[in-house]
Amino acid sequence: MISDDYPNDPSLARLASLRTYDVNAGSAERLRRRCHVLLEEQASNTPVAIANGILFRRIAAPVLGGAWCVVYLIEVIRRAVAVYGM
Amino acid sequence: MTPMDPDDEGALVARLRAADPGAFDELYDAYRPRLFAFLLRMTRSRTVAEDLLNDTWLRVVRHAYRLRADTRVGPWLFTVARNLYWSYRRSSLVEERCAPDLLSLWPSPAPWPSPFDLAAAGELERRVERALSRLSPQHREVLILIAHEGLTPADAAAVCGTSAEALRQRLSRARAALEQKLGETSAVAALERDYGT
Repeated sequence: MISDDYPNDPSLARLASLRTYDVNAGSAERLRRRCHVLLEEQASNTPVAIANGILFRRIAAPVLGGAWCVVYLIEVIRRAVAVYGM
Repeated sequence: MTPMDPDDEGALVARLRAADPGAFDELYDAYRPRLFAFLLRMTRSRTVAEDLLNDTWLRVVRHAYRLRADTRVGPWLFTVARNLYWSYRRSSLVEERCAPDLLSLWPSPAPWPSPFDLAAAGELERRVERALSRLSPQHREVLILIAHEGLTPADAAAVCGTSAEALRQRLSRARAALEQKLGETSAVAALERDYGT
């Protein structure tokens, strides 16, 4: 597997034909599983996930809470008006 | 190294940034043997190469989210592996002259086609491996990256953290050194044959 920049170089051709090695299957699988675990942790820490968390904490949660308070206040006022007949 | 289609590579990088296990598996299956072979030839120790391979992939996973959209994954992986090798080399007093027996490079379940192939191809390959192992790490890495992994000089220069011109000069010196070492190993082999040692 020689770079196209050196198509006819005998020194490099000798190296190109050397074999490729690998770790044994058990080690390869253990490493894969370890990386998958790390990936799961990473997935919850990606910029998108972090941005979603910030979006909820800083914008969505206050808006929902505020809306609930307004509805509650309106209902209290409405009942008070009904009781006192104003 | 077969160049990936830029669109495919971009999509793979995007999936890696999103910590997609499927994208990781694609990369892992394609590059694990190549990175291991690279590290094995650089360290000349199976144990150290396995440790550095583990570190390489763990580092890849930890830093994948920081990849730029136009990252070339092959050169990036070799850069990570190479940097770890040089860190290891700097932090430990590796004795260059104590190369372990090159026979330890052969994988344990060796898939040899036939005894004839073993005798014919094995002898030449062993001589090349021996000559390669006697080169300096700087020469070894540039030869492996360009000749065995098929990186372009520009990509290999990026992996080695040098300019393309400096890399070409280093490659030229590395080729000359390899030829010299091959000549030495041929002479030794001939003497061994003549004297039956």
